[in-house]
Amino acid sequence: MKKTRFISKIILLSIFLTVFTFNVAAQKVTLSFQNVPFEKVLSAIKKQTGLSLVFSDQLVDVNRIVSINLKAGEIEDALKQLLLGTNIGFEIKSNKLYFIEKIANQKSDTPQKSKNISGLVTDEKGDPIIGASVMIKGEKIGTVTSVNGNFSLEATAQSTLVISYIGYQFKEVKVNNQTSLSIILTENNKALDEVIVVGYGTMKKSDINAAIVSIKPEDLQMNSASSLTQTLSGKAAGLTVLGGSAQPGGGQQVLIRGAASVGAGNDPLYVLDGFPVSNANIDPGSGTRYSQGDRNFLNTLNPNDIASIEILKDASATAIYGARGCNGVILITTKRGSNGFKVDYSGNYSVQTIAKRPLMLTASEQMTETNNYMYEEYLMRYKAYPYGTRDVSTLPTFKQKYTLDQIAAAGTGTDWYGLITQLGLINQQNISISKGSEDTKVLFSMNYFDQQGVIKSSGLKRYSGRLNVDQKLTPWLDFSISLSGSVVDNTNAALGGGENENSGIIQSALQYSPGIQAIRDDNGEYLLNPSQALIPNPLSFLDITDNTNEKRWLTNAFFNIHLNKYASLKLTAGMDDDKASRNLYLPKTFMYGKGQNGVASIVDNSKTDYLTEATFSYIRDIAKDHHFSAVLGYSFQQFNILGNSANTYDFFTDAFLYNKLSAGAGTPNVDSWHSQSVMASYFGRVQYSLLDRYLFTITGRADGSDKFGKNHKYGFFPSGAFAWRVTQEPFMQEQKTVSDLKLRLSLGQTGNSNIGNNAYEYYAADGHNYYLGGVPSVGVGLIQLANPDLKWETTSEANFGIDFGFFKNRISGSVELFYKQINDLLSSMPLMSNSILSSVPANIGKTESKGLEVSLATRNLTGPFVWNSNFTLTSYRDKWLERNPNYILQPFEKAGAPINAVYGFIAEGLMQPGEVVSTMPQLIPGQMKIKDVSEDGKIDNKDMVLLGVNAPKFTMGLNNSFMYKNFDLSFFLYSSLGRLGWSHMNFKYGTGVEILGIKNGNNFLADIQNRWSSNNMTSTMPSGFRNPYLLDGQYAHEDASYLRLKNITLGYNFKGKLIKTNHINNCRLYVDVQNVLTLTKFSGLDPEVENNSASYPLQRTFTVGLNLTLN
Amino acid sequence: MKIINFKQLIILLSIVFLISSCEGNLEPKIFDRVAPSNFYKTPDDLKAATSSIYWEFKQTGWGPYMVSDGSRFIMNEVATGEWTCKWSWDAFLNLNWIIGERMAYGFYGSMMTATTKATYVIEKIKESTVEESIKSKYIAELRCLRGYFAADLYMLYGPLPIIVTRDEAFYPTSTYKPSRPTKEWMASYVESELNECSKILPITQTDWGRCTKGAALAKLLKLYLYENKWQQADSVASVIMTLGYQLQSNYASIFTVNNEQNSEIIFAVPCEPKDQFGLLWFDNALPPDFKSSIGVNYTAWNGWRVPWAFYDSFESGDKRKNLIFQTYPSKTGQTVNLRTAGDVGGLAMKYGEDPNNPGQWTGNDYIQFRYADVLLCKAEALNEINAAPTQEIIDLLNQVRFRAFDNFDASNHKLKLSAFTTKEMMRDQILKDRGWELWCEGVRREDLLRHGKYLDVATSVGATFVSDKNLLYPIPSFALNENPNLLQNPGY
Repeated sequence: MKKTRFISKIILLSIFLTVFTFNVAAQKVTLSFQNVPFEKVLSAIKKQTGLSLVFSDQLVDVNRIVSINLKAGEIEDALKQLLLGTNIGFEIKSNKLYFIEKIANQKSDTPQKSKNISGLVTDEKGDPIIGASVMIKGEKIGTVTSVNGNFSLEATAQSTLVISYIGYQFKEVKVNNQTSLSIILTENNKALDEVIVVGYGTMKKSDINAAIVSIKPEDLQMNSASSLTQTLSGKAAGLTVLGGSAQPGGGQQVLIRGAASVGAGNDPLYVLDGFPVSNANIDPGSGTRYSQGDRNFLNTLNPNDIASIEILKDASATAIYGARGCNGVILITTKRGSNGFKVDYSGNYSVQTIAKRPLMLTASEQMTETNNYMYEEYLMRYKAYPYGTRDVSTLPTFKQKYTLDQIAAAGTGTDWYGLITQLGLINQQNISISKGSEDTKVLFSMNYFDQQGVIKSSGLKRYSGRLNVDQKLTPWLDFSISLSGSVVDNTNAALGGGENENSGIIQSALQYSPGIQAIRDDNGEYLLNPSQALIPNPLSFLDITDNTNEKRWLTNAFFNIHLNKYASLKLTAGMDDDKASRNLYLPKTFMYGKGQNGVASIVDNSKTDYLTEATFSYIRDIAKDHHFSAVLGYSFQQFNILGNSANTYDFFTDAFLYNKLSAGAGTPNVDSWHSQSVMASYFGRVQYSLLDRYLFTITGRADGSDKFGKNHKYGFFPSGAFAWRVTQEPFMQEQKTVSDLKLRLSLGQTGNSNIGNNAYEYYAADGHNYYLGGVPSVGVGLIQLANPDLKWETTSEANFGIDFGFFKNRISGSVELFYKQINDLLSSMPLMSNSILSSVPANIGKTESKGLEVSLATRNLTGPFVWNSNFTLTSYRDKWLERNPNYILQPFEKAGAPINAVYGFIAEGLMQPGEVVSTMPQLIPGQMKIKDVSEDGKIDNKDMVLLGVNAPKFTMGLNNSFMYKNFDLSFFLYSSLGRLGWSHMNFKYGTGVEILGIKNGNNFLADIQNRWSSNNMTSTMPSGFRNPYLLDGQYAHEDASYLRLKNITLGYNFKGKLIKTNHINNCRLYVDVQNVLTLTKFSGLDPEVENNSASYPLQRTFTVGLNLTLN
Repeated sequence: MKIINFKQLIILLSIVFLISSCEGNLEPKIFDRVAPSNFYKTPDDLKAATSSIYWEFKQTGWGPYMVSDGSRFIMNEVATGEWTCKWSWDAFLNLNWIIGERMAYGFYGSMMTATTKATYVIEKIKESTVEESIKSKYIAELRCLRGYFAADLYMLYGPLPIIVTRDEAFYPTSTYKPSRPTKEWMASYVESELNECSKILPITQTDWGRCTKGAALAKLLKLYLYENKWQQADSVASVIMTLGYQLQSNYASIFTVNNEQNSEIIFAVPCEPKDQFGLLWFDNALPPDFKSSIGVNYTAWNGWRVPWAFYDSFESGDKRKNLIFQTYPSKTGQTVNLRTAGDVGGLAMKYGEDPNNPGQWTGNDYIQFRYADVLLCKAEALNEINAAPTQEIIDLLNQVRFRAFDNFDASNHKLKLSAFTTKEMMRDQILKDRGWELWCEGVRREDLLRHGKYLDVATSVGATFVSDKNLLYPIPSFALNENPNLLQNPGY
């Protein structure tokens, strides 16, 4: 009986040929069936003989009605009888029963000399392909390959053989003089029968009428990546990965179809094996001034466990996730056990170097530039040329701060940046064991990931394990469970781009005087620079102990009840329990530990989400041409966030770290927090396909949330889609060029409810305490204003898509065009600055986003030398349509501006001596002139203009992979175009603001030696004296477009007897380089990850690794 | 495959029903907050709400009535000649306040909101059902706090549309765009508020740190002086002089941690040697190699200095000068002489070292008003009222000068009326005495403004962008952007 179309397609697709059963070679069978499906007879044969069945159900129609009556007959006789009148033959070998296509092996009557050709057909891994069809082109002569993958047939030298097999690309081979052929078929990843995961179900790719991209893990370079999102950029059209932090486990911003939501977040919804994971980052702060950086919430997920990733883009695909679907959905499916036994091992080691490090002044250069700076100051003070008219010869003598001897003696000085950086190292070990029978399938995996960051004291260690079990309990009941647990130990470097006393380790290293020696004094403290007294010594940061330990336990269990041949009910219960704890100790040898005689802090934060779901599915074919399926469901999810913190100070010893808080003599601080919210949802989807050509889908979801006021607790989000598979039309059957063409159209609405807690009014005791009468008196104040009218943010989206394939899918791909409007944007409405609170939750306007996405896959070369390419292009534009009239705009902001608008001044070059700049009366020569755009005779923020957007206009990815014999090579190019960037680094450590601090020993970029000065008046770099007009707006934006060779991988597959005879199925050794080369005009450290003046440097990663499969 | 039977179906449907029953009424559960229906119900609620307004003084220790950038202290000391800073605050120190630096806008940002918060709490308490006597006690304190915030906003930025009414505080909108009130309205509003609450506030509070009658009147006195309302200033000073305050016999002891809550202090922000609750005085003032005489391991940012010109202006033998360190012992055992080392000034060691200070946060209560200031204010008011200097004025000055010199009565440091023939001479002497007595106590800018000397002094100490604009601080650009009716101060 056909269970469901989907499930059978999974079986069909999994042309996994290995079904082990006991070796009971009973060759006699007793069969008595009247008008039953062939499947039923087959299972009887299987039961009686112990044979495993191996076939493609493209070939064998298991629903064919058959009758047989045989008592203790030979199995061969039974099969012959059953297969009578079909084109199916069979073969029994090694306890397996193969069904293969029977091809009339007619002798040709042609007089040409034919010879016997033999050959072997294998897949790319060298495994024989059984049952592949080998035909002579243009004739009806052919054969199929045997269990060993061998074939032989008669052909002439002029013949061309056509070798084909389901799921693989067909191949044509000229016979010529060869008599023995070796043919490798390439797996056809883009096969239309591919099953992809959609919200609450799976679907054949050919049936999809929504905008969905499916990514296989082998397309991602995950060798040295700690988490999935790092590898996604450029791999899926419509998905943009922006910026983020380059630290170990650093987080990126992942966007699907732009970022048109302004206040409620643009993060997509991640659904892990059916569990919607809330991506609230629970990484605790520490109560100190140092940031742990920005980490990825998916760090706990072992990327090696991923079987597939589906990106749901349009409203038709995401509406089933209703109020959480508006930013797209990323479905992550983990690997599950399969029939047979298999062990996969992968291990790799990586070395990381800093891709580009800043070039700072040496000690002697710093001293020379200090003298030069002070000389300019001296000219200014006496209003001498070029700052005035007085002749330099009339001035009192200038006294150099440093003599030439002192400068020469200083040499290069201390390279602080060099001292706080190191070689990054990654060690990753992964093992996964899969074992399964018809009834029970188990996958168990373990992962160890250990990264030492390129900034000293930063690092990440992950230990994770997974157990996925699928168990058939009764013929009508299946049970599955996905269990995963992980522990991530982060060591935190003191990051962040704060100034002065808030400087982190990188900031400190960049600005610390090269003239200070990197040594400790008698008290064990690093030497300080008295004139940089707010900044701790860069190396003293390494004395801090700061760890974040995260433990995550994600469990999801399903009962699948097959109610009848059409209907099934799935019950789901799950829990995502995520705990993170940050422990920090600032010792007495560190400036801000010393100030409080040692500071210890512990913060625990946990997020526990519970999910229960029930989904009812119904699938039915009515007559031959009407295929109908439906899903109805209910989902309830509860989100809990709670935590506590404790900190104290004044320790008699540094030895305890944070492990004995009661040893701190200071007044301890304790706190705790707890909130809970729920979401209850009803959803449904109906699909209908007519003649396999016209595909209709209607989806809807109603979500209820406790975040909104009484009138707006529930929201409803509908969508509809239609697709036309043009190539299925009769008139398309004759042509050969177009192998696939599908036009898709979808319309729908999704929502966003991501506004933090809710829209109610609250008071809180948030540390606003005050000593009254010698004791702390707790202060309680209003922290949130209510907005009873607050409602869901709603996105309405239209999508038009074309899927195409040409020349038997040698070229295939899709193009998507979308337009969406977001209404009732959820955000906080800023109130007047003298209001009791700075904002109130509100719906603040309307935005739109439109875009184009192109994916293209080409098989450029087949044959012994294989060359495949994949190209993706993503382009979107977000802009404001309407703003709440009460929303206060800056004077330079325009109502219909792009969302990521960058405003700034227009620079007009440096002021030269004698020049009069009437709009900037305080300007002195060597400072940047600003265009008076408003023409009001002065420079203020009315002169700021829209310079561009802080989002790429185009992002592109191009992957090329080559295969020749045992070698494989691939490289991946990524490009981002049209984004305006700003080198925080150049601005702060160049002459962007001022270099006044050089007198205190502050260090700057070596570049400032070229700045404008009385000796260098042709320079275009400002003089480094603070321009009083420039604090509010910047002119330093530049084009941050770039092309990056992100990755090159070279692999070698071991083959041959040694491998085959030791149960080794696959053995591949590879080397890999990440971030090989970046071409850009951007002047800063990196056009992508430079997000403050002390950003974590991007690394170049060299990896060597081994993949091994045993069975 | 078996088709499921009816009984099983019933079980399944019950499971579905069970799951869906979790939904409830979708009411939020925030366990760590207080819902409005549960607050302003008890005396403790009122106390907690009031404490949150007191908190505005110090905020997280870097607050507007403490000593960091954006504080009243820094704003009232810049370019006065008695204080400067070695950090690269050039634009601020040069009185080039056209740019949006926190030093200029920080106080506005914090205190406009704090004023509204105080109004909110006052109005909520008014509506509370708690006993009237308790309500009026807290309301009087809150009006005094609001009076402080408003008075300082007025003296730093000029008249501002502060929110003092219920509906504007309770229901903020982004459409409320008031114009600036007149100078007269704002001054008289603050005067009457301070006046009224001073009548309810007790002379002493059991909880040190709460507003007292003296605290309210001291601010009122400053406001009257700022407004040149000399008669009123004189009478308020006289009232304060009846409240029992006394000068300490030893100048340095006013500021020591073991003599806190002494009878000279009228109002102070209580500080404890604890993160966010302490005073960052020493951190700002000390160089990193400073060796504490009592073993405190200081966090030292090497910022503040008392310029040599001011140091040298003291009369010889003035003990108040001893709290400015020209030399200090270094950790390497040497004596560092700042003047010979070329530094711009001495160390402001006005506050006594706190042995309980682990390094960063010192526990010295931060003094807002003390009795000596009141005596000098009274002297100043009298000098303006009278046609010529009087003995009463001389006595008031001598009362303050007495403890600064050894053998005062016999010395030439004791002022004599005969030396001051004109009102102007007397005025100059009062200004000098105020500097020597109250240096680095955050009063100097107001004093110089009153005497019409701020701009001259700023120029003389080297500020390069001095103009009439500097009589008031600029309204921050964020406030101008959101409210076109709010006009900028002249010159910006």
